[in-house]
Amino acid sequence: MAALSRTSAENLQIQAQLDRQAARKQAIGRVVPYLGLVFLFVFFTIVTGGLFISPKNLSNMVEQCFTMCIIATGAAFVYAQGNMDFSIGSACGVAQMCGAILLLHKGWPMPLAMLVTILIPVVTCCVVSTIAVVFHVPVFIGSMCVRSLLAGLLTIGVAKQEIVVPVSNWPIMTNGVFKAIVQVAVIAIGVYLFHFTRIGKWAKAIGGNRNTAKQAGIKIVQQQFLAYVLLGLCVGIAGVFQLFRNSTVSMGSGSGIEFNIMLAVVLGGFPMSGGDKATLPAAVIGAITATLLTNGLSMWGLEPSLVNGVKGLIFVIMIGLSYDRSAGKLVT
Amino acid sequence: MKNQNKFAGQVVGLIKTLAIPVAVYLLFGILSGGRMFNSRAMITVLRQTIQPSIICYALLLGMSIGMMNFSAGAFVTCAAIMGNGLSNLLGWGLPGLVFFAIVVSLACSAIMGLLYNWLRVPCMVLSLGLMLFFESLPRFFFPGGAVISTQDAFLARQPWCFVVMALVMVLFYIIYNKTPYGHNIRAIGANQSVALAAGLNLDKIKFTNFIVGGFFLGVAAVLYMSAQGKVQNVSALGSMAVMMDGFMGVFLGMLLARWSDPSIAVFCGVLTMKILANGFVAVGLESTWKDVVTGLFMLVIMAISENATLPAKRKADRLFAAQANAERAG
Amino acid sequence: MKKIIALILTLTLLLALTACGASGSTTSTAETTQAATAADGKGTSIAADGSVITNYDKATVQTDKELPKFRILVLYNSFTDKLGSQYKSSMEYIAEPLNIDFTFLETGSSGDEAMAAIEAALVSGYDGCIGTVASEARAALFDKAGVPYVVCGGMPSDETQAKAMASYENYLGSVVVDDYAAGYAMAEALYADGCRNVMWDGLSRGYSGQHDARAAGFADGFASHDDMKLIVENWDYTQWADGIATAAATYPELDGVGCTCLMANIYNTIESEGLVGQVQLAGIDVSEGTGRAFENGSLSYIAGGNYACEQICFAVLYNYLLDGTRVIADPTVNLTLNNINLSSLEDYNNYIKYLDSAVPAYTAQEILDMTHYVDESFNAEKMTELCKAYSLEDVIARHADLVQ
Repeated sequence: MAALSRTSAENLQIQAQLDRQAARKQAIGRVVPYLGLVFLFVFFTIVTGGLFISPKNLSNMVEQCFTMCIIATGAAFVYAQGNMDFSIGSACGVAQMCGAILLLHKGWPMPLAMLVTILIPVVTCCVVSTIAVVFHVPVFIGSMCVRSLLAGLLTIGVAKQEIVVPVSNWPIMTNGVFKAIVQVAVIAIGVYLFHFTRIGKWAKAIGGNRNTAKQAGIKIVQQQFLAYVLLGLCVGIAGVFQLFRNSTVSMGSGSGIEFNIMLAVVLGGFPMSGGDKATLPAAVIGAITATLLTNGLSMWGLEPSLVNGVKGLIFVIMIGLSYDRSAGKLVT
Repeated sequence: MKNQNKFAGQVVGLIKTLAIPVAVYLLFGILSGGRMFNSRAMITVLRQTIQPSIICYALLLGMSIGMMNFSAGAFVTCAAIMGNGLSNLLGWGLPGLVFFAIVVSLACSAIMGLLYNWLRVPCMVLSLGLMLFFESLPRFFFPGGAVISTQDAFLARQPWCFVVMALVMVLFYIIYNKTPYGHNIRAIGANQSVALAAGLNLDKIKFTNFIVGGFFLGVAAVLYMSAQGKVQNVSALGSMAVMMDGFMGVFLGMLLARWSDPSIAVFCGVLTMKILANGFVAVGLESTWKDVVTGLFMLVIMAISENATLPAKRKADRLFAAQANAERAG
Repeated sequence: MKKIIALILTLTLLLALTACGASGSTTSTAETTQAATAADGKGTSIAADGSVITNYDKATVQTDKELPKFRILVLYNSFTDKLGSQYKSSMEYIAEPLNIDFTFLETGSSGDEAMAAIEAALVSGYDGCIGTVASEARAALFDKAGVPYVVCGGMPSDETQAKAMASYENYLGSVVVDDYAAGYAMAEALYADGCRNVMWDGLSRGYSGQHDARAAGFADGFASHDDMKLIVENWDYTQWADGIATAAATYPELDGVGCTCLMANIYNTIESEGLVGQVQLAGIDVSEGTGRAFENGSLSYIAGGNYACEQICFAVLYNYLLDGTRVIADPTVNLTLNNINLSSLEDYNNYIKYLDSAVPAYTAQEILDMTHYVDESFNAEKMTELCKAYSLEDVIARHADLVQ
């Protein structure tokens, strides 16, 4: 009744005010992750007496954020569509195992074995997508089932033979400069695809409103598969380098990556529901922030188990600040 | 007559619900050469089903209204360690463990419920962050974990564990079917928008959902502590292992709930997963294949579940199309 | 509703304060707890408030000059389980008399997270490190940081890896207990107690060299007896206790279980399933419930005293830090410490008395005696002999006058 008594000019005024509030909030949401990164840098530098920004530690952090940044780049495409994948950790482990077996026990050339390592997560991610598209199993449940399956395969494979990689035979795979080049290249390609091609635009459109995207002529199934392929490629690349960093594969290899990626994505202010507000740099910033947080808290003297507790708290705060609660959406 | 039909329908539904666990049991019983066909094996499986089932009840309450809670395992370990630790400090023994475990679990759930209502973020995402937090929390107070004496740990043993399960099952049935709260969560689960339009206070109901779930998790924590004897602090998502059996079982339970009450369906879902796990031992299969088989089994079940109505729907679509074409031609 | 919330949160706060405030009464409640678990060792124990207590007597050493100060990083999965707490306690015991500043870092089980935590720690600078993971990546990491590294309880998986690790200057070697012998002894003990249909409860193969060695020893042990059968195998660590219950239910002829790590819930399962007298246990790692199991006769054999590995590792590292001496001559060959073999309640009581009460396996003076600080002639050969001599009888002989 109150709305009926307002003039249209007043309604326009109210709408403009709401738009300004929303824009302000959006701007804050975009800036907060970057501010958070800067704050953490300054904070940890102070509390560690400058050790945090020592060349040695900065070099360590570049090394430590490699895996997360690469995978976050691929995950951005999937999350932008409002999807997720809980099997990437196990997929990474299985990929490492297969690559190492081919390399060590079957005598395959290193590039070929590593190509297989890269392709295996592509296959598993496509399986997850197929399960969702063909069998209509919610992607969350389907990926959990695939996760269980892959974890079992990893355990079986590791039990069958020793998987220890003599890293000194391939020093380039642990070379910091080479890894940095790979990291920058992957992120650059990811940014280009996400922000300057239809792939990214359509991914955001699907995340924004699936039905509208379909009506607009976007091939949902095709784009979903493509997003999962990109995620798989990134997981595979990360797996290759993780194999040489750890020099061994065990049943715990890759465990927890899916949850860490989710944490990283949120920390960066990337909307979990996807949509037009998704940006790839947000996912990468989140990965860097997560690494920074872990490193800084460890250097500060916090036990690794308590580091996770703090990360959890910060995660909750960040998601509270950055989550898109558009009016009219019922949150579950 | 109507009552008779209803009763007959319930019996048929119960039979359908029991069909899957019975089928899996028969399969492994035959494969094991009859080794599983003994009362001791069955009782062992039933006993192992209890604690995950109670966790499952808590998960189901949330999933009924679309809320996935990954932190259930963290609540259980936190409640077990802090409940037992506090009880030991005060010398309250088992009553203390029960009291404090439930209180701690309720407190954790209340915190989660408050944050959920305040932050307005998806439960799944929130639960991820809180899982990490609640895994670390007991470490501040009880860094060495918790140890329970043998005489206090009898609740995990038969017949007490079955008494607890029976009580919890009845309680869940009453809460889910005979209370306004249960009615409301089923309404929200059916259609949240309509429920909101009908005047239901979603915030209040969801908060209550967390509290009720927290109670069940507290009970599960008591049984977990009693069964383990010693519970150590976990970290880095280690609490997921505590709830994983319940997690898989809840999906199966939701499928079986089409035919019978969720209190029974959920138990049967978890029972099926436990028969699977025990069957491996009985048949002499490598336990390393368990995860593979579990994953495949769940995929098949979920695929069937999601597509069960597909043939009927396609038939209805074809009929409709035929009718429409006939009308257009006419 | 808000009142209910407020009440719950207030209650939580009160509970938390109770927990913190009760730390003043730890002694009395800890004593109560210790009395209740008197059979489970006092050297390191878990107090009622969950904290780890070390009850070792104050360590002293005879020195004529000030000992150099070293900063040493000690790594392990978790210092709050029995073995971890013993690792930590045995190091804290020697910290003051030997002028060592120890930092204990729990690395968890994830490879990536562990590497990140170690890298962060190394930035602050350490003189040496004792860890449990034997991998080329770790050896390379410490070599790059210029920090000597000794592995405690872990071993390179094969000769190739051992050689790769040995190529790094700062890798000093690996000290292990004889896990294969422990596994073999488990099978022998079960056989001696009349067990003919046994179960193996193990850790997934390939996960840990120690556990694989135990499994290999057990396999060879039961294979040496034609009338002994392995009827069930479980390699899933989450099912160690439930697996026994299931196996006993489906295989009524089951009469023995070999377990790679005997934990409290396994002892509980034997009791709660009514398997005392029906199924015998044999395993590794003395923990809560071990004394009870010996008392009720359900335990045939257990290998313990593994924590002495940490003390030997310290001696290896200390020698190197003092003057560059390597008491593991060939880093590709593991330095092997005997197990402490316990087969009876008497053995167990002696173990508690001499290895888990007033002093650890080696006193501070005994550790110093293994180094060039006291004995310039101490070398790899002497170290090897010392490790071979390690046994319950050896500890009793050395500490008879120290323990009441």
